[in-house]
Amino acid sequence: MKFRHEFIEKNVTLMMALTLLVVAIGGIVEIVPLFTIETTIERVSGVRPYSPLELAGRDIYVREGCYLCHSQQIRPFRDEVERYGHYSLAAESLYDHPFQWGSKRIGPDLARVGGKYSNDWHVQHLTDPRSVVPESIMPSYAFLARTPLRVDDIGLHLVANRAVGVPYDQAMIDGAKADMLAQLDANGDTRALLKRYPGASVGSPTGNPAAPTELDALVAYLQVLGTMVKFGDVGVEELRQ
Amino acid sequence: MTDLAISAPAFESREVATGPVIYNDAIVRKFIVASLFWGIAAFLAGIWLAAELTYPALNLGEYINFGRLRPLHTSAGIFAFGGNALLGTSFWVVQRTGRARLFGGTVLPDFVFWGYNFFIVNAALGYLLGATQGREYAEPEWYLDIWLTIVWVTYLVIFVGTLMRRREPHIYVANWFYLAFIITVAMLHLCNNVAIPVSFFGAKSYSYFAGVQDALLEWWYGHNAVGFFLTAGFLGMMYYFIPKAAERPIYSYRLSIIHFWALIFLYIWAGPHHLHWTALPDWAQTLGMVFSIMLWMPSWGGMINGLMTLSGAWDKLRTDPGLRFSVTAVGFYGMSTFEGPVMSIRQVNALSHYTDWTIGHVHSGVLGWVAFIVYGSVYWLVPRLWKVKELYSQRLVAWHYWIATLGIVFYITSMWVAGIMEGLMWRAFDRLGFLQYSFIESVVAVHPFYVIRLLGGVLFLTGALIMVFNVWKTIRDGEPVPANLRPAVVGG
Amino acid sequence: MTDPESGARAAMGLVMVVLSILGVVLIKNAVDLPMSVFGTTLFIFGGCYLIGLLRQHYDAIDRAGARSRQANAAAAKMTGGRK
Repeated sequence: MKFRHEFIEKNVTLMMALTLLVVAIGGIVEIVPLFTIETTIERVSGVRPYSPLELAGRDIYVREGCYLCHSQQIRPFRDEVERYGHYSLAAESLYDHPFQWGSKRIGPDLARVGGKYSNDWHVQHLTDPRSVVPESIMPSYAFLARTPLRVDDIGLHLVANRAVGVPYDQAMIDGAKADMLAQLDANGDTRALLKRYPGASVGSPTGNPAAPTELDALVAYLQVLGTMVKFGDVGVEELRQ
Repeated sequence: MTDLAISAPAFESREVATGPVIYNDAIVRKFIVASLFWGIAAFLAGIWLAAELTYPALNLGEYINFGRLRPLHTSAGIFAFGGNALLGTSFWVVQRTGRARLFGGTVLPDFVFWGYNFFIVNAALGYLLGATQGREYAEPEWYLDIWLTIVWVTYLVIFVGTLMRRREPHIYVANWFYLAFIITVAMLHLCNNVAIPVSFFGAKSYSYFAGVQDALLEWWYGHNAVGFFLTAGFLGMMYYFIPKAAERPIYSYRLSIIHFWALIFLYIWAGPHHLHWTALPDWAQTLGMVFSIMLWMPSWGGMINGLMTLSGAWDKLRTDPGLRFSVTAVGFYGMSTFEGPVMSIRQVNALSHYTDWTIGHVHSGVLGWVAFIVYGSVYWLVPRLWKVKELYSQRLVAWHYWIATLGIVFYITSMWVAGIMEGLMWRAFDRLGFLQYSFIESVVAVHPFYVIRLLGGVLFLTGALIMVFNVWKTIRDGEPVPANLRPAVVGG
Repeated sequence: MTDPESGARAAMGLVMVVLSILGVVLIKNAVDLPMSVFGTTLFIFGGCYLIGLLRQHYDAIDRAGARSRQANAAAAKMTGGRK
């Protein structure tokens, strides 16, 4: 063996080639089957692309690094299911570019925070966390309420998502800006919006639909988390991986 | 020329120069200075983050709150502090072990230096302004990823080019590790950063992959950023600077071979241990766990090789504080590479995941292993790089050592306690069968340990500042080595 | 030209010119602040790097000139001043 290794040690090209081969194996074996084994994603229905407002909110969530303190992945443990809800399915982050499962809980898991708190609660909490939870160590995101939401280019974001595989159709892309504004207006006609994005949270969290802010978008995103799959209707077979 | 040509394999015929070598040391000096500079920046950012967690009012405004500052700290520590140290030492080692001048003249290496640090500055500015891909340790956006690729390919060309003009037929073991580091990081970077920008004139992009596939891709990358950037690369450093400082050869050539190939093969599979009990399929989690446990062996192979090199030279630890850093680094390396496999066991991970135990584990590795091996190597290098007789003060090195070690101990023990406490509180049920603690109660409970951790970080920074002072005084006021006492080869 | 690296420096200089232009283009067309900032840093980087390359180039010529003057003086001393 010593003789043969000397052969590699005297040859840069061989060393490089063998190294690349050796380090490539593990990744191929572990990652490729995730794309080929069909049961990797559970067969559940309800998961849909994010509405334009939710997508804008998600982009803010990623930008602010919320995933660094909050996970979005409930594990199949009794205590976790009791605290947060049904354990997270792979299907539920199907359209999450990038995934935001998180790796640390400085704050609680948010995978099923949707619908648990009112819009007012979220606005108050994001603006001043300690006014709602006195011992909280979360930063204040009051500046989001002062930052106008970019509405005009949201269509381009849907186009980019479609390019990476999210099934936005042309109607969704063309109507992106209108859908965004419609979702903020509780008094408007939201039938088309809710047909395209069932279960979207309608209304302006900051109470001013004419002047949407980044806080509005972020709250809309938080309110949809974990709400897409109706677990009452799901059987055990559909959850098999 | 003749006997070298005969012993080289047929498909690698090389022109080998003769005559004295003029090494390019100017580039190494640049990288070492940059590494120390960014180290201070990284530790300062870390302290601010620790302070924010302890006193949240310190989350001032929009630009330096925890969420935006954290990637700045991790990138500064890994890529700026660690990366500059790796690039600089790799350029020293590949030249010296091959007795060949660095490939690419001064033009290419200078480009790697300035280009790499340009990447770092822009990454940092980007995070504060909100440009992030939202992937740990791969936060820089698409345009910076492209830039880094160009710089990294240039780095590979220089390193391989220098190996090809070596006068030593054997490639010394340190270079196997550096080479594996460069190649694997390139593979990881390219695969994990595939993204579609919304506009070529905007920073925002969306990752090509999503959900569970994206999760494994990210943690295949993330774990191997640890395995190859923070481990293989620094093992390369260790394999040169410990034998040099100890004036002893590496303990075992055969162990080097076995643990090198085993390490680079096994490390890649460990990614799924970051995703235990998530929606990643069980088979992948099991593979990740089993390979992580197996990984303990080649890791300890490296530790044994490094430590046993001190055989017959243990007394040097009394007289050479710089060597103390390197040897302690290997000790921490052994500790972390035991703790890691333990935490990769699914039942243990069920407790540790999402808690501060993970943070403690990370920092025992980056402070105890990575930073300490950098310190040991830099203390050995600095007099030689600036051609002075010795360091300004060995006593300051000793002070640095003890203060930094104390800081690390505070850090990791406080995080062990905090982490296990969090894990236990989250899963506690009272006698009536209800969850015993609300989440916020666990946050309150770990507060005292966050204070201790902050203190640990301050101590670590203090040690680093002592080092910067010592190095600065050495460079500025060090007694030059007389020309006739310098080695026969001339440093550039 | 007595700068042995002049070819490499020229090529790198060309790269820096391209980068500086790219920087200006990005600043002009940027749709968000991070990209404007990147365009700015790219422009500054390219410009400063170019100046640095020029400085190195002329320093190398000066050094080569000084060396050849030294060599001539030494040779002249050896031959006793006669050419």
